[in-house]
Amino acid sequence: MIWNGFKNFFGQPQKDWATWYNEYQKTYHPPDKNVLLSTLSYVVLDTETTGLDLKTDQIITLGAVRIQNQEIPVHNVLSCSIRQNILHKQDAVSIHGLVQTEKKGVPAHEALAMFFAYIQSDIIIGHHIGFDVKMIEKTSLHHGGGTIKNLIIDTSFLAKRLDNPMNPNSLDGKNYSLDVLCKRFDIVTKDRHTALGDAFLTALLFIKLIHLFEKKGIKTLKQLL
Amino acid sequence: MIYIMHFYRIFVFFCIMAHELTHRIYDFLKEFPPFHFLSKEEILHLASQSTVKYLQKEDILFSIGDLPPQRFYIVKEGAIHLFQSNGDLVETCDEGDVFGIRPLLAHSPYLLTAKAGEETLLYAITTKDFLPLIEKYPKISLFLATNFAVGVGNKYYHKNHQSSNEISENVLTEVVSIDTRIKPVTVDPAITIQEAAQIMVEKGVGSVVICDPDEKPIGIVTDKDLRTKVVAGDIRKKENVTLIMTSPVKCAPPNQSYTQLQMMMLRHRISHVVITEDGSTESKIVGVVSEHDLVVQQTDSPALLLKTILKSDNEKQLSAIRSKIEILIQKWLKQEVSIHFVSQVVSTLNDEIIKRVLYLSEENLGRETYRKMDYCWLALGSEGREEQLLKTDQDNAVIYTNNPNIPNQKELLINLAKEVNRMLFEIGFEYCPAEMMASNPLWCQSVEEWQQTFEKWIFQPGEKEIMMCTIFFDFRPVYGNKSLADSLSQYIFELLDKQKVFLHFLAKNALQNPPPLSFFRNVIVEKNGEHKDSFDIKLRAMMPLVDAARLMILEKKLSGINNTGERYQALAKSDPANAEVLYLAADAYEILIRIRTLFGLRQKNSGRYIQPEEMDKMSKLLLRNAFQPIDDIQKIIKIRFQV
Repeated sequence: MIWNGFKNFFGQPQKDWATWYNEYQKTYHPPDKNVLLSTLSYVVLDTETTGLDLKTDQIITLGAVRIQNQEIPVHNVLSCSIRQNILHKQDAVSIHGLVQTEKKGVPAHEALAMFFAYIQSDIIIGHHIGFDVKMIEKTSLHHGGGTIKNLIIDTSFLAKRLDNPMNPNSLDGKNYSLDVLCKRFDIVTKDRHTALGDAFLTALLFIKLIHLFEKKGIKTLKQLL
Repeated sequence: MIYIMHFYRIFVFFCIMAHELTHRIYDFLKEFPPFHFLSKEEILHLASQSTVKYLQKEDILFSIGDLPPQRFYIVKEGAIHLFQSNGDLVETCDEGDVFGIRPLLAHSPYLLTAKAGEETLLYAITTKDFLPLIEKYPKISLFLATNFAVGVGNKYYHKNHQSSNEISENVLTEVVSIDTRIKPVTVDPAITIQEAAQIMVEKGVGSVVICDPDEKPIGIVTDKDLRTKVVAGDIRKKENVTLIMTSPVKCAPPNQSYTQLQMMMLRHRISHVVITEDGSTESKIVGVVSEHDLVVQQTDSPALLLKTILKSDNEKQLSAIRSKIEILIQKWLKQEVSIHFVSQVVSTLNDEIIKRVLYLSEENLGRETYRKMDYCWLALGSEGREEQLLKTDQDNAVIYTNNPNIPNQKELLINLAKEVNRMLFEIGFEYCPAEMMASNPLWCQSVEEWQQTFEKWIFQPGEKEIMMCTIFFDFRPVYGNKSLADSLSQYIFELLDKQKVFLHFLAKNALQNPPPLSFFRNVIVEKNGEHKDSFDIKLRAMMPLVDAARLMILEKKLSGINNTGERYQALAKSDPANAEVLYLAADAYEILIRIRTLFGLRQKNSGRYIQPEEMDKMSKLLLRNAFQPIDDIQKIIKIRFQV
């Protein structure tokens, strides 16, 4: 694993991106910031990881939904589990009595290929999205890919900005968790605990926030950022 | 982002086709019609192709004249208001309500504007995936038909008019037995139209099936084909029979239920279904079932009941018959037989019971005495309107010609009425608490007395008089000299001509109870008393329609039509400008009777008070849809009678 990353980082010249990353890079174009927020296309993202440590933890699942014309098409979502390479087999047997024999999910590079093909040039939305993006970029770098070029917007920051436009970061973060905000904006949180489920809730939250910004006269990406 | 504890990493997740979002939508859809008719796989597929849409309050989803995208909607949370072009609110759709589907089926632009009444979450379902399911499940087309029937009035419904008004949840098990001993009449494709017609006459059948040498059906020719294509059309009789046959034929396997076959006929607008060994055109013909066969089969039992009534000698036997009628009603309602048909049969049977009771009472008290009298037994109220499906109170009266030779005639008739009332009570018809019964001297009157009574009511209309009129105007002769009732009707019309202002009072009375606008949000229930928290369907929904129909019938001087549904039908014919609303009112009334009767049967009472929380979504929907025509009719009355 670390060896792979090492090899990628030093052993391969920068130009030899993985095919999926090359495709992504070629087609990426930044959004027009003067277009109305409600007409832009967004990808709302969430990941499940083995933990919060950027160095040692890994992504387990990637979940994403798309917002187009203020709608979320159910047939156009990304829900993908990554095959885990490191297995603490003995621990697993002793704790759960299970033996990990078959490998489920897709290899990380396939998941990344799916992910980069999915996001296209859409603006990426997520709750505390910074961490998810870093995890994906870390994995991407390990597998011959690069960083995410898309514009990234954090819904927790948007909610804070709505409440205190002058100094959003002064607000207490615990009032801006996904759970608290869903409750506040009447979003039914039924099946949390999956990346896709959370991405869907975040998408609803984002649509509601956009409407509230529009009411305040903030109607374009330029005004929002 | 979810933090997973370190040792959980052994749980490996994988890509799944039906992801949790699909399941979330599936969980919702499966609770509501029409989706609950579908299989799990079918709902999952619809869910996987759906779209989640969020609307803010006041957001417009679509406007009148917009061409519909290839999808329709179901409300997940919130409320959608549907408006007409004049800004009138037609309907409020809330959780679980489906809307925007009619234009897709009719391939026409939206007739209404949809606006979010509050923050709203919708699921949009693609039509492409849904249309094949309509074909597959007759219950869906039925549901949609009734959904459009009232409120969002639609022609689609009228085509399916016979398909009745409620979908029973019960599995219909009654099987139409095909008498396989009688060979269906089949003919060779080579014969002429004339030869086919001759065979039909000889065999006394309404159709012939054209079969190939293996007895597989190729086509069918019915007497209707002969009438329209040959007699009225320009095809000559010497031509080949295949020229006028309907091909391919609609087939079904043996042992279909009554409802399945009826639905099939309705759906394909056909009057004959060919029964083959495996239900396809590729197997041997077994029989033919016509619409007529189905009708005969279902009217078989009432005919038997009628015979037994005529042979009954006492109230005990009649009571047993009345219980059988109730079972029949229940069965029919479950089979979705049209209310119009049910009420007709039930009032015929009720009338026969009353006639038999009168006959027996005359016998008991001395038949000779009563044979000399010229009198008529009148049914009042709902019995008078032929709408009494359940055993409710008895309301009746007697009208007689004064006979100077029988000085104590009134007394004798009251005695007779007492006996009749008692027997009807024994049979199961409760006494009228307000004593509107022929045994009450007030309601056993001579022709002259009745004329005076109506004169008083019409010329001095107080609250009580108006109320009396609403009950007595719906009188219907059941037994005795019917011309007495007819001439009383004529007399009343003459009085109304002299006292035009009376209709204005009656109109005011008819508008006393406006329909509840939204049954879901603000359930209009009784605030106090025994029926606290229940909905008075009679007072709030049925009486307004009954009163309005009576008023308009009196205005148009249409006598002899007592049934509210028939009254609206007749009014629609005589008033083309308002025909649509009047037809919708007729439908709405049928729906109301059906709901009330089903509740009554379940609760073993008159069904007048219904508990909204005990209604399923479908009944709620039907009930709410029935309110709109009430409102429309009341608007017409307000204008016409200047209230």
